[in-house]
Amino acid sequence: MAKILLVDDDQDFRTINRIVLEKNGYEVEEANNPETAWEKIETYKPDLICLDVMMPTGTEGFHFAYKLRRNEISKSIPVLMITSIHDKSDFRFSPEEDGDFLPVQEFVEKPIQPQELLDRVDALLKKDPMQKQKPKNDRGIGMKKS
Amino acid sequence: MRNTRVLVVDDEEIIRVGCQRILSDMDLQVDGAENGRIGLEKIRENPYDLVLLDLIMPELDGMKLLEKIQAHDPDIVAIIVTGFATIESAVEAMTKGAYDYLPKPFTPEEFRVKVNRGLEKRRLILEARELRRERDRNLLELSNEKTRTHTIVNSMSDGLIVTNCSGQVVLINPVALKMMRLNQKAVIGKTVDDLIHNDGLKNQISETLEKVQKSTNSTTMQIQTRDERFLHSNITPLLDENHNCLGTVTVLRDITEEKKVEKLKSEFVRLVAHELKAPLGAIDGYLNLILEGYISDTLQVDDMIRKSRNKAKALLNLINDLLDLSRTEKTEISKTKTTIDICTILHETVNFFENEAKEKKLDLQFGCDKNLPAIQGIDEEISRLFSNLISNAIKYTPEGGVVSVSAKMNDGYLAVAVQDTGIGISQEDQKNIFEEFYRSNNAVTRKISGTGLGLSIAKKIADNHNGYLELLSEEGKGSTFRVFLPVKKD
Repeated sequence: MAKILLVDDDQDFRTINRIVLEKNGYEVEEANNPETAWEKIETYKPDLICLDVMMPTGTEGFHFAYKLRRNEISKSIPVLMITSIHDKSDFRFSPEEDGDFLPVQEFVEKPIQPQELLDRVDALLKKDPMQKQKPKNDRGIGMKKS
Repeated sequence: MRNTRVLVVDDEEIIRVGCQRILSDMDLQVDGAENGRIGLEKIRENPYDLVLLDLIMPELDGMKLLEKIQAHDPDIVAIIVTGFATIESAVEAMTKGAYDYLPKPFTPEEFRVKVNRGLEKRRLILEARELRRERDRNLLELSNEKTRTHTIVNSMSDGLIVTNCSGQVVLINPVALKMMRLNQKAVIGKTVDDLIHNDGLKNQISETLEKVQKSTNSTTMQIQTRDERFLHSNITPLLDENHNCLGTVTVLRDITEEKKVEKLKSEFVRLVAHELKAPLGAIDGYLNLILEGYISDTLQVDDMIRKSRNKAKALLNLINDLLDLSRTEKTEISKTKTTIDICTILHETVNFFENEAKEKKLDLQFGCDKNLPAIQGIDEEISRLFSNLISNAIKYTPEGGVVSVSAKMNDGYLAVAVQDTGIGISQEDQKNIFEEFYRSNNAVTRKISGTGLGLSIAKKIADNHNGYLELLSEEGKGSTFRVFLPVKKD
């Protein structure tokens, strides 16, 4: 069972997405700040990290992503950045063009719909060669709108 | 062109009539006068070019008439016609302004020659007078033009700097001096390099001068001055008709206020984007979970619906704040002030927050001095002012703390203090705390939702009531907001 770490300072966001992911067979842990996230990465060893770029200040999510890439333990863990940064600045990012600047595998805007989250997570886990375990295909719930 | 008019003043009828006939033959308009008095009358009535006058005449002699003519119009050409006996008088007359004299007797030919010369003189005089007039008019226009340009340049609300081709300042208006923080005396004749400290503007003027021959286009840019003002500059090269460089004209406009509005606008957009979108995102998320069948537990469904409702309420509050803010800005025209008893309003407001305080296990205290004077105000605004302060105090005070509201007289003002034992406000944040959309950003405040509008609304309301707000705060110990409102004078 693939393990996902949700890193966001918004409690509602974590709750909602935890439910979506758990119902679809993923194991979920939460962290509401980078410090907690680090502890969780070391102890919990997630297969994928969903990261909010604005958490808790405007750039901390970015710094955290850099740190993840440079660290031996975490550098192979795919990162899905979920953020509302587009609303706060004029910058537009894409992992293709800003690869060095933005060391994450995927970049999506809030709010994210359940199906979109599942599709992205699924795609990232399949793409990652380090990931051997695939999520259980028991998506009876939450697939109505696909 | 009008006819040339000639007057013959002579008491000898033969000579007068004879002269008149010759002059008429010369296509001139001629009048005659038999003595000096009648001659003077005619001169005063008609514009003569030439007057022929005898010296010895009854009533007003020629010499006196000449003086009168000179006084009336020195440009009338006078020719003395006189007998040999008075040749000395004729000479005297010429020193007094007569143009020529013709001794009697004379032949018609001699007469015509004298008259023609006199008329030529008259023509020259008129021409000279016209030229003089034109010159005077030009000089006047020139000086008017100078005054006009000066006034236009000095009354412009934009800054104006004109340089010559070597970059020396030749004209600068008071607004530009003020914008560049320069002193008038020390400016004219100095070069742009010496005067202007702003590199952007300096280079822009130099570049315009360098390529003045090639391009007549003006360039614009935005510059920031050392005192944090923003200027918009427009520099145009000046050329003469042969495309030789004359210099540059720089027009500067202060756009600091526009920048401020721009900043406010982007802050507003940011607020809308985050403060409105985040709760809506949560509502959307919860509703998705419920509708797509993720939640089977009804208690959990209830909880999510409740959370969504709270988010919706918070959004409504935010929107109300925004509306309040624009409402307080136009108070004076829309609302009238009434007499208000502050203790009643404070009591109601404190009561309203009792439950909230209880939930957070806060001790909400209230004390109002007896017999406080009434104030003049808009009661919903006053009540809004204290709700904002009390709501903040509750929000930023951790569980178990104390929030107290008290009112008393202070130096002619009614002073209401809202005091808490909360997280306090840093010195840095205290400077900006009353600004719209400003929020302290630290680990604690990040977890507390707010619009950054409450205090700016409070301040505007205090301003509307000719009062003021004071803040005493220490980080980690708590904050005290004191509102001072002028009491009603009977």
